[in-house]
Parts: sequence; C-alpha cells; structure tokens
Amino acid sequence: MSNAGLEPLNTTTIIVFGLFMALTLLITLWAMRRTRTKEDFFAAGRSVTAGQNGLALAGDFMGAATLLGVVGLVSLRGFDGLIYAVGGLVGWPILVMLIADPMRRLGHFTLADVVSSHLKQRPIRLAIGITTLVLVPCYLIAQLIGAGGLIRLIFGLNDDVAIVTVAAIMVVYVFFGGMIATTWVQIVKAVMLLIAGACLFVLVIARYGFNPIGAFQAASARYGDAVLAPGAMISSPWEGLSLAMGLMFGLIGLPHVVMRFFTVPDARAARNSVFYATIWIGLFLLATFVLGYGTLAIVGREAVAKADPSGNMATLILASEIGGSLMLGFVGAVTFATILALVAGLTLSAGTSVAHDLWNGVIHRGNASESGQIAVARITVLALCVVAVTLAITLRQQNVIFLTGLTFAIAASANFPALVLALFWRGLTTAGAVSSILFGAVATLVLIYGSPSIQTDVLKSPEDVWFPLRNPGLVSIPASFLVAIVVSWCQRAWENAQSPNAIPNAVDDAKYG
Amino acid sequence: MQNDQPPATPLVAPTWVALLLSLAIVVAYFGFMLLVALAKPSLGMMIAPGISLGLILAAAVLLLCIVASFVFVVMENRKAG
Repeated sequence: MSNAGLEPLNTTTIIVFGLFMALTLLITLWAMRRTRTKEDFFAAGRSVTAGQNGLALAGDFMGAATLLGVVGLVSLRGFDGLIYAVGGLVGWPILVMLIADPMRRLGHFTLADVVSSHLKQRPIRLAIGITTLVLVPCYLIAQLIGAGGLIRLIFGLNDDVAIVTVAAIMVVYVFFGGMIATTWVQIVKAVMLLIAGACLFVLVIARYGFNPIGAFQAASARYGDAVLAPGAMISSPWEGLSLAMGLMFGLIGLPHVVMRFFTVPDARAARNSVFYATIWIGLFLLATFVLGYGTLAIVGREAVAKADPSGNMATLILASEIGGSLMLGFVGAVTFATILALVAGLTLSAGTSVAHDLWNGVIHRGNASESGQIAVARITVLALCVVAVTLAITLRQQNVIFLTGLTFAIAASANFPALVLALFWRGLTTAGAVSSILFGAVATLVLIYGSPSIQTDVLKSPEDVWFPLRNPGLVSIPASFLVAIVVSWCQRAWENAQSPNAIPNAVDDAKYG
Repeated sequence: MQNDQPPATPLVAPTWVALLLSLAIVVAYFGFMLLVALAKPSLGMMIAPGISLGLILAAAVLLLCIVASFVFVVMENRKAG
C-alpha cells in the first residue's frame, strides 16, 4: 500500500507526534504516583466529577472507529457510512434513561457485580469473565488496525511492526497507572480529539465559505447525487434491523462503559456524565458527516482506496491535504494517543474482570490478596495483547468501524440480555443468566464466522457462507433473551419441584456458593 | 464489595418520561434503518442542492438523541434535587 496523496515522511510530523507522546507519558507518570490501592487502580478512588467522567466516556468511545472508520466509510461508500455514525449515538440515551440509575444502585466495579447482585456470584462472574475476554480482543483488533495503519502512514513502518509497537506501549500504561491513568488520560485525549475534529471541520468548511453544506454539494458535484443516498450496504430490511440492534444494544453490553459509571460519586453524577458524553459524541458524529463528504470531495474516493482499501486512512489523508504536515502530525498524534488510551482502558477492563471476578470471586471466593489481583490483571493484559495483535494482523484489510459493529453485536448478544433481565425481571436465575451470556457470545461468533463478513471478505470463499447476514444481531440477541428466559423458568420449576413449600426467593443463601 | 447480602432491594422501574423518550428514539432509529433498507430512492430525493432527505433524517436521529437525553436529565435532576 502506498502513501499516495501524502507528503513523504517529514520532520514536522514526527516532532508534533513526539510531543504528544511525551505529554501522554507525563500524565501516566503522574498517575503512577497516585496509584496505591486496588480501589485506586480499579476505580480512580471515586473522585471524578460528572463533567470529567462524561469527557472520559466520550474519549473512550470516540476511538479509531469513529474518526478513522466512519470518515473512511463515508469517503468510500457515501451515505452508507453515515449509518454507522447514527448508530454510534443511539445507545447512549437508552443507557442514561433506562439503565444508568438501576445499575448504579446495584453494583460496585464491574458488569458482573450488577448481573450477579441477586444471584449466585461465581458462575456469573465466570461467564462474564469469559465473554469479556472474548469482547476485548475483538474491540482491540479494530483499534490496533487503525493505529497500525496510522503508524505505517506517518513513519513508513511495516503494518505488523506498527501494530506490535502500539500494543507494547499500551501495556506500559496499564502496568503503571491503572484506572486513574486511563481516566485522566481519556479526558485529555477526549479534549484533544474534539479539538482535532473541530480543526479539521473548520478547515474543510473554510473551502466552502464556512458553509457545511458546501462539503455535501462538492461531493455530489464530483460523484453525483447518488453519494447522498443509501447504497448497497444495507441490502435488506433484515440486514438493516440486525445492524441497528447490534449497534444500539451493544453499547449497553460493553464492560468498559459500565465500569465508568462507578468512577463518579453518585447516581445523579452518573446520569449527568452519560448525558455530557452524549453531547460530545453527538457533535463529533455530526462533524464526521462533513468530514466524510469533505474527504470525498477534496481527496476523492480513488486516493482513499489506494492508500488503504478499507478506507481507514481517509481522515489522515484529508488532514494532510487541507493542513499539510502540521495537521497530519497533530491529527495523527491525537488519533494515535486516543487509540492508545482506549486500548489501555479496554485491557484494564478485562484485567479487572479477570482479577476481580475470576481470580477473586470464583477461584478465591473473595479472599484473594490485593497484590495477587493486580498481578493477575497485568498478566491478562499481556495475554490479550498477544491474541489481539495476531488477529489484527489477519484482519488488516477491514474497515475498523465495520469490525467494531461486529464487536457490538457480540456485546449485545452476550451481556445485554442478561443485564436487562437482571435489572428488570425478578424471574432471572443464575442458570438463566449464565447460559444466556455464554450462548450469546458463542452464537454470535459462530454466526459471524459463517457470514459473508468472514467467509467472503476475509477467507475469500463465498460458497461457504451459511448465514446470510453480515451482522448477526437480529438472530443472536433475541435468541440470547430466549435462552435466559427458558432456562430461568426451567430452573425455577426444578427448584419448586424439589421443595414445593419453600418461598421462591431471588436471593440465594450462599452468596459465593 | 459487601459480604452480607441485605434483603433484596426493590427493582427500579423506569419513569414514564424515560420510557416515552426511549420509545421515540427506538422508533426513530429503527424506522430510519428500515427506510434505508426499503426506501432508498426516497431517501435519495434532493431537498436542496447537496442535501438529500436521507441526510436530513440521519442528522435528525442524532439530534433527537441529544435532545431526549437533555430533557430526561433535566427532569430527573429536578426530581431528585
């Protein structure tokens, strides 16, 4: 893949880049001094305000997928890319309105706490620990691909080397700073990302007399009105519904989003922080409309595809085109730093889950030592890196927002049904929750594997497709709900048959039984 | 992390505002997706130079999300004090 459309490797870019990396490391060092206990490591000592947490949430979410993937998809496919932009926001209001308060009241650190608060701890922690270990590498893959392409573009490095480098740097963050580093680093990154997006936005519309519509007009002038209409991506209503369900509900099933609720002092702050995040993300996504079409008009579809067939590098090429190497270095560094922070946050979520849920909850029944838990968290981080890097190298050609959509489908099938039922249905039993969680994860992966997404796009064998939809949500999400409900009924029926005089009670005697 | 489980806390029911706004968003979003799948030519209709119906609807869904969140949070905060 060539660097078509970009200036060759130059000093300005690298210096700007280097400055940001230095800044990031300074923040991590600052956080290092503040990390003492497990509480500090895992939940920022609960000292973060709603506004700050809102920014961190937004920063968490707006990673490679948003800035690189959405703009890239729009620059290649026009309107179809906007579908992902819209889908990126819709889960948040549902989260704040229906999920935030109930969840806040029930749990402490993790998704597993919430789901298992009325049920048996160990099986649920085990199940959620397993699905987290599946979800996080999937999410990571998209981020690593984005970061890898970025490094290749700016430094001329080989894709694979770039991907490995990113992973190594991220491991350093988590090892030394924990949640505080990632929360504060997320906030700084969110602000920088918003600034970078704003700069790009202004530079694009400046070409059209500061009229945002100008970008759309220029794109349709160059490629015809068809770019402003839906294309072939959503080929049927089933495909559309499937993607819609995955995007909306997947957000709620993401462990690292859940975890951010518990870094603020009270329910009101949790609610407000999700609202703030919604505003920032919403504005950012609206900006991607203009950036995407701006890229189409200014850079052109061919140049984007030539640099990277997935479109992942579109934003950077745009930056270079409208702002030279300074903009490229700035946007590149901000994007890279954002990805880094997100990746750190994700692996921390997984490390926490393994240490808190599996190691402490399941294996040691609540008695694991603090240092032991932190050690387990770190080992998990390392292992996840290796898996994610390997898969990222394999899936390099895919657009990152598309991959993120698949990850969301997994979260929507595995975690979302159990979470919703745990919050609102007294009838959920331990077996119901566990089977739903595991079934959801496995079913989604199996369906993805049999879909055109893998068989056609990656394995190049379209004759092996046995599941017609590229997104499995339409099937896997309801199926997961069904499994939870049916298994719960069965368990209740079995329990009632065992002791017909016992009062049915959602709270089991042995909390760690 | 508590070791003694208190009596089961009452499960919290969402308020009618929350349910109404959530329903609005679900309808708007899924409706939009169905239009994208089934009514491509209509969404491609140009309202003004450079603006298609689809573009307006996409932006509208995003704005609905922001407004709905705002309304909800203001109302809830007023209640809780």
